[in-house]
Amino acid sequence: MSKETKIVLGVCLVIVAALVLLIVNYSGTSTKIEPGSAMYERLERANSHRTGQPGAKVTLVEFADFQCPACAYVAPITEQVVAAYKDNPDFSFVFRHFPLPQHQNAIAAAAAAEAAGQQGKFWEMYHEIFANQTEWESSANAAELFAGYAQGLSLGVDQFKADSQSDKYDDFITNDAKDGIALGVNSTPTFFLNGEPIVGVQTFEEFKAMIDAKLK
Amino acid sequence: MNKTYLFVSWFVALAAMLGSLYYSEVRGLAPCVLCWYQRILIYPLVAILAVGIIRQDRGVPFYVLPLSIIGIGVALFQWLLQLGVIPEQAAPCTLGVSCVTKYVEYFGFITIPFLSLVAFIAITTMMLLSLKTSN
Repeated sequence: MSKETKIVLGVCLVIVAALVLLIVNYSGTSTKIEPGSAMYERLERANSHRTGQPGAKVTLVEFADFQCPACAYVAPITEQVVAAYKDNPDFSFVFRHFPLPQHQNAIAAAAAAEAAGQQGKFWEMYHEIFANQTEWESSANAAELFAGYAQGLSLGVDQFKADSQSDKYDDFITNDAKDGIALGVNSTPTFFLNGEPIVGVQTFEEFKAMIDAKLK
Repeated sequence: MNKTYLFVSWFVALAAMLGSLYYSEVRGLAPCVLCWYQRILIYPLVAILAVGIIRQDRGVPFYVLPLSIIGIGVALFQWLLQLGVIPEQAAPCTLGVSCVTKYVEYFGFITIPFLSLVAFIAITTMMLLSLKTSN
């Protein structure tokens, strides 16, 4: 092997190794949002959907798109997390909308969740929408499917349809997304654990370990 | 024989370049991240192969192969993503153009990443054959 070949191969190897390390460890993470900063105020709003109490010691915020497959994949995991800490007053889970433009039914799904929330069943509808994502995601008739889920949840269907198909939740949903953008969210799901960004799907064990560490 | 391989490879690269530009500039389909990487790998081959043909350079495959082989990797990855072999649910959805959506599909299986994969494999094969026959 000539000297030139060795040099070139050596440099290429170092570059590839460095790139892999950087991407695996740092991709998607922005820096931590410091509590007390103006940015921190954007993580959760007074009227955001949350379990537990606002200002809990450990707050897990999720920015999600109902039509995103990764978000649907992680939904049972976050539900498991919420169930695991439901009796712990120091933990709170907050959901923020982040519908992506390439998902045609994302905003309708978000509005459906809001409409269900109007009747007191946001989290139940959150579950239904994610659990049945493959059914409605590319349907031209998603609104009817959402109405079906509402019926299954014993919601007032006429009220639900009127609410979910109006534009009354547009500002709420858009403001969630704007907060997300300001916080550096550019993919879904993106979580923030006390301001520290966590991008993508995590396992229950990973969440638990991170949350327990902060609860101490 | 050698010249034929070079010419055919050059036409494949040209077709790939012009085809991709047609889809983005005429049909308005914005390239996603993976498409950009594939463009970076195949557009230069148009120039490299042209020079190789003009100079009758037997060493041209050595300049083409690194790009075409990496191109196979990227195109294969995107093709498998689109087929759902690489699970989409593992990958977060990003703001911006989706690399997974099948914007174009002919005969039920010909998508843009598929065409790209075929192009890279064709060019790589011809370059390898060209090396073999020039010995």
